Amino acid sequence: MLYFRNLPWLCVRGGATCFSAYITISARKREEVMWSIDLRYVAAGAAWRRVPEWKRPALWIDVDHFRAPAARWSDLERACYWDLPEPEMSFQDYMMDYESPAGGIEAHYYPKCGSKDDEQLELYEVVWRVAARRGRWFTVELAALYDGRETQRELREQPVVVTPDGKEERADADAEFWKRHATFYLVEEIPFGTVMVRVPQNARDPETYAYSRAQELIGGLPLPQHVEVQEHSAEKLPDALGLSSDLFVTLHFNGFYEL
Amino acid sequence: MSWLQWRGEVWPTTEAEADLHLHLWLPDSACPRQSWSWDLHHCPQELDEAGERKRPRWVGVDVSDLNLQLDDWRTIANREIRADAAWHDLHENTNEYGHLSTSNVDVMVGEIDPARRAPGEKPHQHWIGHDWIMRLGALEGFILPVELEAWTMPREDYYRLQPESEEEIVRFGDGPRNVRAMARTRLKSCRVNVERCADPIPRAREYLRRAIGLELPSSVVQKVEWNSYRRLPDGKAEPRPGWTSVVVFDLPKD
Repeated sequence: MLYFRNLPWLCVRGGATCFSAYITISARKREEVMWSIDLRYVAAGAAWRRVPEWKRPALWIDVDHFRAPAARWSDLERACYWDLPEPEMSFQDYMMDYESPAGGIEAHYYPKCGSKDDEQLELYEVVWRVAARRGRWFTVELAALYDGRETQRELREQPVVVTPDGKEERADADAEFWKRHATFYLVEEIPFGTVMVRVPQNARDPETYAYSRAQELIGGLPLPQHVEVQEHSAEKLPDALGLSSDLFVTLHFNGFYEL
Repeated sequence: MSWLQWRGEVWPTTEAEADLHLHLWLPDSACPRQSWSWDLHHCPQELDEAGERKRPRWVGVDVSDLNLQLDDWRTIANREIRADAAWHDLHENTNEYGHLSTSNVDVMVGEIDPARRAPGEKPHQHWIGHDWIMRLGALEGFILPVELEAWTMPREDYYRLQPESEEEIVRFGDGPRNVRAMARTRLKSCRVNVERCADPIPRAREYLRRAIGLELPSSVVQKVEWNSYRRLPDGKAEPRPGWTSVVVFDLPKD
């Protein structure tokens, strides 16, 4: 469920919305795996029945380079990146030096029916956490913010409650808080989708090599349900020994060709 | 037997049966697991002046998704589906391939004889509607009677760039009800997605049995469509047995 600009939204499935990972040639440690979350939404509800899906308002969200799960992909279920920077942090430090383990966020809103004109939302902060896992599906709560320091300031103004033992604690911000203060807020079921591995051109069996690398750096992977090998001709450089790779092997864990 | 009234005109009846199809996705797929669809091809036979049998006109009616999730497929019988705005709201989803799954009635009309067409009408027309009512009768084996009423409009008029207003949304059956069909309907085919395995047919049968209690007869025609392909050096592609697949079961006529 996405809350954004008072439109009813439908999450687009089938690989458009998933967790994915990318393993470069040089990656040696699991922290070097590039993880991302992709989410796609289209305007939904009975009012939009007569508007073809590709002409409806849409929102594309990408969260990149967040902290890798500890030992295996399923450890994503413990992901909790819900901390915000202190409001006292200077603008300079916030923009230049602050790195959140939640990763960076980019979102494009396509507001007009039938038009490809998009509005890139101005976002400098994302917080997200996983509430539960069911098989390869994760229940994710996510809030995208313009300025995390500002939201932290608002959080500090949440009412103070007195616990039964007499202590004073600040009340947790509930969903209503995030709907009100975030540029958008969502709670969604997101599957573990794909792992893309960059493979040396001279690998004897690119699929086996890719799976082995993915298993080594991500861990706990089941057998992929589909494998796709792509050669990116645009990246071809003179390479007599075939040591610089231009093979990309994508392992799909949901059994279908992803978008 | 099929009976059809299209835009007020009752067409001659035919011996055709309508078809009911099921697509059963994998248990953890990203869409509702069952997708039931219904279609009727109504094509009456006529005699021309020379006494020759001809089929100069036809109507194909297709309901793309009945949005039923059944524990026992036999409970499909004796029910009415009223596809109004609330029903569409409740069932909107995207399928496993990421496409919006709509539950419209599509009517494909062929009218070869220009004398029977209104001025300016094309010989082939496509009408679409989202307001419809389907009544499913008692089940006998794999057969049940089905009645459909729908309000449709030409495809060119149906699609637009503005969402419907509140008034449009609440109105059900706007304009004349221009499709009425009644037909003996047969469960015709089941497509079952199966994960990677060497022999998917027994697993597909097991999925049907466990998901909806459907036991297929031994006479059913079954085939495996492998989903994965390997690109060969000559640019061609060959299927990869043992990977994911769709098992197709075609039920024979009695």
